Amino acid sequence: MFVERINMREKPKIAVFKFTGCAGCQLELLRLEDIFLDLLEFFDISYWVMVKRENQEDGPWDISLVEGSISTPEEIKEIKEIRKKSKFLVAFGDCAIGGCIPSIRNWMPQMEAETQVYHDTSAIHSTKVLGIGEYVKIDAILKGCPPHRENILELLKSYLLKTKPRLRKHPVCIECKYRDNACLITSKKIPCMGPVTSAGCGALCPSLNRECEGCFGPMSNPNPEALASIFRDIGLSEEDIIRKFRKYAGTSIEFQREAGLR
Amino acid sequence: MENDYSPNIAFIRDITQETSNTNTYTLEPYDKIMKKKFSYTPGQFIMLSIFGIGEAAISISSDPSNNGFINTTIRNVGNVTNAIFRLKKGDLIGIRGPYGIGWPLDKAENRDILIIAGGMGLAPLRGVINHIKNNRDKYGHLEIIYGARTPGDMIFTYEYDDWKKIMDSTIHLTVDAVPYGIKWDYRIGLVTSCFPGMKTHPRNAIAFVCGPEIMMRYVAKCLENIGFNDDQIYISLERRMKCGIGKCGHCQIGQKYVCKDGPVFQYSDIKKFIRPL
Amino acid sequence: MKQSTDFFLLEKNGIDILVKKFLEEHKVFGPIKPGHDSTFDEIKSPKELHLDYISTVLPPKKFFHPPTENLFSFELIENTEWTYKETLHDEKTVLIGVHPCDVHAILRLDRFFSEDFRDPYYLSRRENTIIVALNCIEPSEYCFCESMGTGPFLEMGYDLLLTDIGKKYLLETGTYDGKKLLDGLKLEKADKKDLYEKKKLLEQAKKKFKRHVNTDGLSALLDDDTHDWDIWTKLAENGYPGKSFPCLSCGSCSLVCPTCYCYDVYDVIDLSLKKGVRKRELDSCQLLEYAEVALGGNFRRDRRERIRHWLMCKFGMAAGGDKSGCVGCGRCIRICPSKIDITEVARIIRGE
Repeated sequence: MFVERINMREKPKIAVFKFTGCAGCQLELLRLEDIFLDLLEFFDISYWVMVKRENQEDGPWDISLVEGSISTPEEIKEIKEIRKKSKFLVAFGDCAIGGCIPSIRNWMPQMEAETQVYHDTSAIHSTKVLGIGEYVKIDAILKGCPPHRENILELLKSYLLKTKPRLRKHPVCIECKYRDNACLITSKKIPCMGPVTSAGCGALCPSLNRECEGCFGPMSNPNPEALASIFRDIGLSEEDIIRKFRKYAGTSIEFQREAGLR
Repeated sequence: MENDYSPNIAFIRDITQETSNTNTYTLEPYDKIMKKKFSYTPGQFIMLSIFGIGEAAISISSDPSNNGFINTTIRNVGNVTNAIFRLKKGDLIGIRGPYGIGWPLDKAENRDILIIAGGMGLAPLRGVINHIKNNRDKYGHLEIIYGARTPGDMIFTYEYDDWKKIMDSTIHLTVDAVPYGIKWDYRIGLVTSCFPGMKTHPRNAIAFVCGPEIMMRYVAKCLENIGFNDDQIYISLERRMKCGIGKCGHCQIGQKYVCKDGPVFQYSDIKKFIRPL
Repeated sequence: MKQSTDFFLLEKNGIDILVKKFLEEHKVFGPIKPGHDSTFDEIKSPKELHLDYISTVLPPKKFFHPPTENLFSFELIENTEWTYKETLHDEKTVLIGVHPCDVHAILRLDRFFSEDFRDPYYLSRRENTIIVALNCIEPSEYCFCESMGTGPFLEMGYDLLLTDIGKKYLLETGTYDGKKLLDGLKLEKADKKDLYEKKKLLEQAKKKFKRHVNTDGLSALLDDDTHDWDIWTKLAENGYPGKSFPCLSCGSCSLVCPTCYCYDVYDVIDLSLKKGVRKRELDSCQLLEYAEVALGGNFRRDRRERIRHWLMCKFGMAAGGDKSGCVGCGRCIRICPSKIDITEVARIIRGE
């Protein structure tokens, strides 16, 4: 009658890793502050450099939350090591899923990007910015830049209950309508990415009259081509449209065409 | 106000393993009055519920003469069924129902009965077979055609011997493939490959079909080809269901609700909605 | 209970007196903003009410069948002991300023949620709600209720009915509950002249519609399954020529539809893993996950199938029948980022 958590001899060990990204996803984990101590009843934090002085460096870990994209040969090696020591590997946030904002540099020649930042590029040997899934098998993804705390919680709970987490795949429009918001596109001609973007944020931006930037990445079976024509119709230039689709998930199969891949 | 969304409680009295990922559960309503009142037709379904996970629509696999015990055969495929698989004998489970329309056993009286099942599709038909077994004189010839992916995927194998002993009956078993090292004395091929050896004549027959939808479409077509009318064929559909009582909308197929107007449909009523589009 | 109708006249500011009276024993909800994108919300003082609204984003459906609601809560006490509590709402409520199309939609949902199995969540709210409707003098550019027989003026389904007849409101009673709500108010009786004025306004309003649907024989056309309408493919892939963009499958149309009732059910359990709720929330047939079954099977995987299903449903050709059919409120037309217009689709199907 009542769901039971799976039997575990000891608390599952969590590790949090960061690659190329801004650490915002980790901060979102910390934003669970009001229930953070409750979480510690169920999980051991075994590796998390941002919050712990002593970290268990060699695993194995039950759950590894990996933030950030992979952008150097060292990172490729590292993520493969982490995979070996992790039972359940989570691509934690958009960077780990598909490169997110750092992946904007994939759209320009490597040298150009490097010289824009560094005087001396001789020590720089970056690769294309890609999600961790390009190099290792991932067991779950948490969409968002950053993922919403409720989604993080849902994933952790589902681990304890051994269920598939209920993470939203439908567009932001659904959550936006739940909140009785008028459509920014039709009412105000504001280019909102909501109709192609995965929900899970509770329609945060549109509820504040700001267009959805698309930070949860593509929804299931989106129609980006249609949205691009709508943007064109409300007066966006081709460059603007490309920028919109490139921003958070330009490397995704769903958006890459509208992001300018020819 | 009566609340159809609130689950009743049932004991799990027995668990029988059918295949590597399929179990049959014997449930007994906790409430004595409910146990007495719980009447159903084979083909109807119940909503099983685990607090904290949710609900799933599962067909009843027993026949009503089961003394208030309800059998339900479950494949471990989703969150709810997975949680059910973690339950043990004696545990409690939430139950609502029975819901929907079952197999038309009254219409089938005095007619030859052709049962065609694929895979898990035998579950809602097991009650029909056992009902006929217990009321043998009411029905004509009974022919069962059952197909599964491999011999190991067949359910209720422990009852086949009993079924073979049913007077005036024929049973065909077939599988898509036999893994190396497994002994198999029956046919290999689709359920329709059994049609040439079929004894049932369409004249006074009624066909009950349940399995994957693609199989049912094909079987129905083949049955029509050999002379069955579309009102002689009944099929049981699977759809996503969230309420079981015709409110949540998920199981709509054209102008029908599978939960309320089905899950068993006369093929003529549903034909145009399940055509491949 | 249908009662003999009383006709009263109300000064424009008389609405304030009415609202104050309602507030004595009821929660009062009404449109709180002018214009197209108003919302029905709680009115705590008469000045918050905007009867000059054109339409709302979500229809009043949200009071009876909210976007998300709890069905019941459960808590594990010990191994085999738990508590269980239904979450029913039966607060006395007045909805004021409901347009005729929305009243008709509520009547359809009433029938839908009370037939066969009764839905206690919808019905307990509904039975405790009084509807003060407001006839439409100025249909908006999106409206086509006249074609659907659901407006612009109302003949049934209200407890009280308001019509703006120029300098004053005409106030009509529809039910005993409505009448009782006026107890103790000194109201001016309306005379024949006022009723004539209402009739005149109705005739004028009827002429103001910019959108029309000819429903005559439409269902028969759609029921003809020998015809594979290419409009569904067009809606999914290109939009119809020159007028719309392809469907985004964003689900907005169905969420703002006053007769769409589909919902999803799921459990949420808190971190103690001992306490939780079973919830339901509005779902949309436009979403990929809507018709998904175990093992990833999906009975409406294609966008074409999904937009077809919704439009068929609104034309009364799905399992909900006329109970889920269109009432001509025009919300889906206004909300659709792709400018898909149900009246245009009907015209294309008719070959007009």
